[in-house]
Amino acid sequence: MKAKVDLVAGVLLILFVAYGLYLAFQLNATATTIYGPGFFPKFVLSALGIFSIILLINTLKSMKHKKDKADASNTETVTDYKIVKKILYLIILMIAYVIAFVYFGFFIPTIIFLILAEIIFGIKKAYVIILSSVLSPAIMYFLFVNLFNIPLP
Amino acid sequence: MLSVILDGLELALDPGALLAGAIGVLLGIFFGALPGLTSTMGVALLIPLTFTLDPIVALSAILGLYVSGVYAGSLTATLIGTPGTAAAAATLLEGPQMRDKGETRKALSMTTIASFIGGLFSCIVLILVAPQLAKVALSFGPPEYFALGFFGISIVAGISSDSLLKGVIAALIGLWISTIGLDPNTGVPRMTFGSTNLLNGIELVPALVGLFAISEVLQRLEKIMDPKKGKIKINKIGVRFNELRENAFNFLRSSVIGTFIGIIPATGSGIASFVAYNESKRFAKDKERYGTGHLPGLVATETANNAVTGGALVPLLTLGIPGDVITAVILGALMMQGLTPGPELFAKNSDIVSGLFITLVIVNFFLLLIGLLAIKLFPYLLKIKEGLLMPVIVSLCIIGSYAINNSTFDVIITLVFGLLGYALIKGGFPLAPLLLALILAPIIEKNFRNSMVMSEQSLSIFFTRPISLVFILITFAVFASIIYKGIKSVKANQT
Repeated sequence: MKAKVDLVAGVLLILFVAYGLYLAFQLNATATTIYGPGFFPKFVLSALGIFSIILLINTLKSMKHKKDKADASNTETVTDYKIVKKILYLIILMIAYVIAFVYFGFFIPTIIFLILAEIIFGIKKAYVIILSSVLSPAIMYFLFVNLFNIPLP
Repeated sequence: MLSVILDGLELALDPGALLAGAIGVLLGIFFGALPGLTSTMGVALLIPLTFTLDPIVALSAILGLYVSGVYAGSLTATLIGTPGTAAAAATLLEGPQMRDKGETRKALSMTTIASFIGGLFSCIVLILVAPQLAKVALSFGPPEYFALGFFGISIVAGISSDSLLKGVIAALIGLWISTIGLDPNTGVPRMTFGSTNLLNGIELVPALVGLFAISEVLQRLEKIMDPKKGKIKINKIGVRFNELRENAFNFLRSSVIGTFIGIIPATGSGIASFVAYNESKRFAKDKERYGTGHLPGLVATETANNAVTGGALVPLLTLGIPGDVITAVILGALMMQGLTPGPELFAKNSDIVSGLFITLVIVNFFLLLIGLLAIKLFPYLLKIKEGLLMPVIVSLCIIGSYAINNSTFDVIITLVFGLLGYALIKGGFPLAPLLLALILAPIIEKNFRNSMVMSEQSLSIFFTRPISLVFILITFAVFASIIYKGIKSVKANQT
């Protein structure tokens, strides 16, 4: 499991480095010195590329190693399907919340977000959910707008 | 000199600042004690709430939260055997055992007193050392700052908990992210993908709110803890005066250890507590009692733990180099107030610096007072349901990052960094190096290129100036020791 994650990470990083370097090489076109605007990004990306390749090689080596041994100690628990689902729900909910926050302002989206998020977090009592979801935005609004004079949308 | 102190006193004793300090301490107890919340998260969320206030009022709240957050993690460690913060891991050596012996109140009171003593000692060191160090740093030019930033990056080694390789990769990602926006030297847009919003680069505060709050909430969803059922009893027996006297030397030794470890970047509270504990044990006659709920052990860990706070502010304030994640976030808070840490801060804003010092002393007194008065309430704090808190935290992150610039783009940055942070954690990449790199990158790049202009493109400038040479040598020594350790551990694994 861990090796697979590392493998994916390594490949993604190398793809990212390739794209980044492509962008960085367009930067120095007008520079008169070798240490122009493109120098630092290129340096960082090259280092990132080297370390990503090391990560990839290490991972491949350890995978091979494990296959040879038919590793029995691989007891890492596969993350529970239910939890993965919950996390996906929360991520989608957060994205939706941000979009709604941008278009519809603070109050209604926040209340709806809090209700749904509390359900995802496993709060069961309906009155607790409703009470907290209405009270906390009210307190937040008071804090930001009335106390600290920070306007909200 | 005297007028500077008086100016500072005036700022720090302002009723608003005092109130903010007390609120900060209360929030710190809350964020530090609850296992799902971190003081880093607390400070990150306070920044958008306080940036409209006067600098010292805002910093009172933030420093109060910082100091009491470190302290409160230990309360949880003693009460339920789970450290509320990483810094409180060493508390597990004695705290829960004292609770099992029925000495909960004594343990909690001693934690409070020891934290106060450690914190106060480190404040005094900060006040004495920082201005002197800042004077030295005033003579730094671009080569010295580059060398210092370069040294700062080697810190990454210290904070990449498990995998050094992944820590380095995380740091490099941070360095790359910092190149987004207009190039500071030539004004050429870099990595902006044609977006005008990205021209100013990635705003630090929304990014760190995402990295350290949103990603944390997602992580907590995996392991929601139900509050402990049953009642934790707090008996009447507190700390006796004798016990304070017997531990006088222990207080001093642990304070010194904590403060000096705090000054060294990338070490932090966790390490300081363990070192202080070992030293206390080494000097003790009754070594066998350590680990069974022995008070001097607790004194050592708790004093050192909080002594780190003042120590860690020394490099932050004088050089602008944060030693760990939470001081990096505090750096973000200072910059939001238009105060860039470094020697210039001491020269230009001496009143604010002196106010900040006094404030730090005051919040330590608040910690003692509130901590001792509220002991009975701590167990109730742990009964709050995480499921109710986490959604509110997300909401605060979103609103907070919007509020800083009234910018919806910053909200998107927060969300993107939250998801990025979560993905990195899941991939086993530590976040702390990424944040440090994000902060140090501009220092490194700008000063490197300015040095190159100074020296007409010759790298020798870094080796011919003594201070720069010293930093470069230390950095290479750090790298060499890491590589040596790495090779040793690989060999150990093979055999």
